Amino acid sequence: MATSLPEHFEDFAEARREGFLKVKELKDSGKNICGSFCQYTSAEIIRAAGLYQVGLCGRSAAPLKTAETRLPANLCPLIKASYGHALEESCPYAFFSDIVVGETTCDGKKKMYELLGELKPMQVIHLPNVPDYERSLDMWVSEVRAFKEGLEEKFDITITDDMLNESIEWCNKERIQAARIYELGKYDPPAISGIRMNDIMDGEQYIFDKEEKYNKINDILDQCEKNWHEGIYPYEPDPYRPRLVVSGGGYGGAKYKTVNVIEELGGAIVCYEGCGGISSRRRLVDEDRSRDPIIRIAEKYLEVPCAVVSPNTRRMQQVADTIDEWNADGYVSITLHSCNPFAIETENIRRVCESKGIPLLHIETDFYPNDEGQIRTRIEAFLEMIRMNKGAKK
Amino acid sequence: MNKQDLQNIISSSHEEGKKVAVSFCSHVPQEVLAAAGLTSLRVPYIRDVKDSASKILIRNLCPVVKNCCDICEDEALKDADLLIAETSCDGKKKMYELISNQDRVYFYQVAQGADRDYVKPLIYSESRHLAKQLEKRFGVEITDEAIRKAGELYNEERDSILSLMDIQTQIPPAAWGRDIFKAIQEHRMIADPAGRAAANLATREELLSKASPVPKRAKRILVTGCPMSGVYEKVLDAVEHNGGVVVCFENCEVMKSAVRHFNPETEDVYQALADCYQNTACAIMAPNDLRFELIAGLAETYQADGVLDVTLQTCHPYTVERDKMIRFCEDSLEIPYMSIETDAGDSDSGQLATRVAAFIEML
Repeated sequence: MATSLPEHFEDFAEARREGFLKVKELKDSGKNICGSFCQYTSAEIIRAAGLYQVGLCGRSAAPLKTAETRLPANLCPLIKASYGHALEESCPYAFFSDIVVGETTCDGKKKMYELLGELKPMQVIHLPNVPDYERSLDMWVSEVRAFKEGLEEKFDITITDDMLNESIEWCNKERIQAARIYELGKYDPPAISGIRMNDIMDGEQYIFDKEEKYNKINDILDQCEKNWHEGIYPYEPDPYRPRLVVSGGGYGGAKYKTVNVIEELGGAIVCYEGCGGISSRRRLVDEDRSRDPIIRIAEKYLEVPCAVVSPNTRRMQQVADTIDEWNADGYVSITLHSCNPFAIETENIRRVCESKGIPLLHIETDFYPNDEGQIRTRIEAFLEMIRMNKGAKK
Repeated sequence: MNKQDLQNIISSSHEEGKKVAVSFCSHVPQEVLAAAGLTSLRVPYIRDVKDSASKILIRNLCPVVKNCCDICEDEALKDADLLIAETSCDGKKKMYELISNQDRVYFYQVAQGADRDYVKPLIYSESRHLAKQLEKRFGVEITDEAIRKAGELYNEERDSILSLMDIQTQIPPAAWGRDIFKAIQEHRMIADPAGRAAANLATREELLSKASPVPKRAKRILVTGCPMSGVYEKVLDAVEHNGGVVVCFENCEVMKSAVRHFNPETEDVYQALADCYQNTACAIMAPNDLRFELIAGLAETYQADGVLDVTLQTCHPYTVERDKMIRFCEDSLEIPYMSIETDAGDSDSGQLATRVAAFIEML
């Protein structure tokens, strides 16, 4: 089966490491780098400004101790790691960033940016808290516009509507492509494994040539579909294999003990929902060039069903839809230690799952390996239960 | 306040034909609720409510958020007509979504900073939206005059807190901080702002009429940080049984909400609300320059010998802001600073007392 693997898979799995060198090359050639944290940041504006965007979400336990000299210990490891890297200059992406853009997605990050702003040039975007056009669009447009104007001032450039229109259209194209990756999970058996899906979505942010990236992803998707139709699947045939949706936020640093273990133990992750998953991919920016591009951008991002907003009715609808469309047997919510928004919201997701008649597993973890064994045992029991529900014999 | 008090206020309001709105945060524009003819209760920590939080919420969470959840789900609140769910901190914001009977939950959007262009317009439009929704929900009319009048009433309450606190500027301070904080807490059981103002002023007179019980050598402590109605007894005992006296409270229950004023001269009352509520020195604001200014001013006025920053478990706004506060107190104000992190239980009382005693001894 190894021979039929799409040839570019490894490019994405290795992209984050390879990207370190790429980003240095970009710097050396005079390009500017914009570090960011979140799906909420308008990639359209960053790209229109001619900046190269890199993700700065921490995922390593190494800088946590350094971070704790300034931040409380009882805080999300992503926030601590992101700040710790900047403090000890141990992350090349943060190091090379000419500007860092942060969005006020949660209290911890919002307050951490005040400290990060002492180390790096920063621009903070305040997010709406109530996801309602009538009540929040004005403030949100004002923040998105301030972001664009801030970049113009910082880099002494003018971002024209044409530049925005062009990048809106390109970003939409990428979004459609990204949504297609998850579509492969709808197949039964899935046409792509959950680990590969994650590798692509995780790795794509560190490949900086957009055309090259787009074409490589297309090749992968085409190959996966072709394989499937020829009866070559990423999983061994198994009628009882649990189809799972993985959800949550910022767990990149914990994926080896969660996502990878789920698949190793025989689960199939058919879709990712939440931060980094389909949440931001299914809605496009309106391409009507007669309208103000900043307003069109703001409209799209106002609909991101991130846990920062309340009431997050859109997310609950999305959870329900994802369960139906991907024919899921179970839901796994992975949240980081002391991440209040996603962890508290998991209770609401549990209620949606209950109404859909499927079980939910909530894994709360951090970037240290201590809980690997315990998580593995819980995943094992969860998968076993689902297999029984699907009719497998003990 | 205990749950019986809460129930009594709700039922007596209903007997008078008034609806009751309950809120938990100083960002909520009380004037609008009062102008709608509602009894508006800003509810503090209540000890004797039934536990619901442990079934609904994660364990590693701020005790105030858990207690708000318990209160909202308790039978004590079953007859309340409206719960104002303000999107201040993540914990409360997300907790409100899990409360039963969402029909009576109204989300009020709080701005996240003081220095941005959007902030005043947002407070303005959110106050207006709240007013419109109240009109629709309760079939009332909210006139500008009613808001103006409520603004004046709430100003009186704010002033009464300022003058009560002011007795601590004396040397020695006129009272134990604990007696002042406790009085303000107890007065929150009074349903109307005028009644609360009168009670605060009566406490002031009463405390001033006696000789100060505080020894002259007691170290003068400025308390800052999280809301502390759920932890004030153990924290204040730790200070005042160990050679200190609290001269001022820079927190929501006391100074943070009292230093803001509604200007009745402003023609547009919603503008007046925006001007007033923008000045909330709360840590959900990023950056929260106002709190730093307020502390500098209070440290001077109250001649503080030390600053005690009281934070609650996983209250990220305050615990992350702590690093800046340490540097501000020690480097800019050159005033000794100590922070404590605690929760609603009593298990850390001994440890708190030891740490606070050591801090005071050092002053």
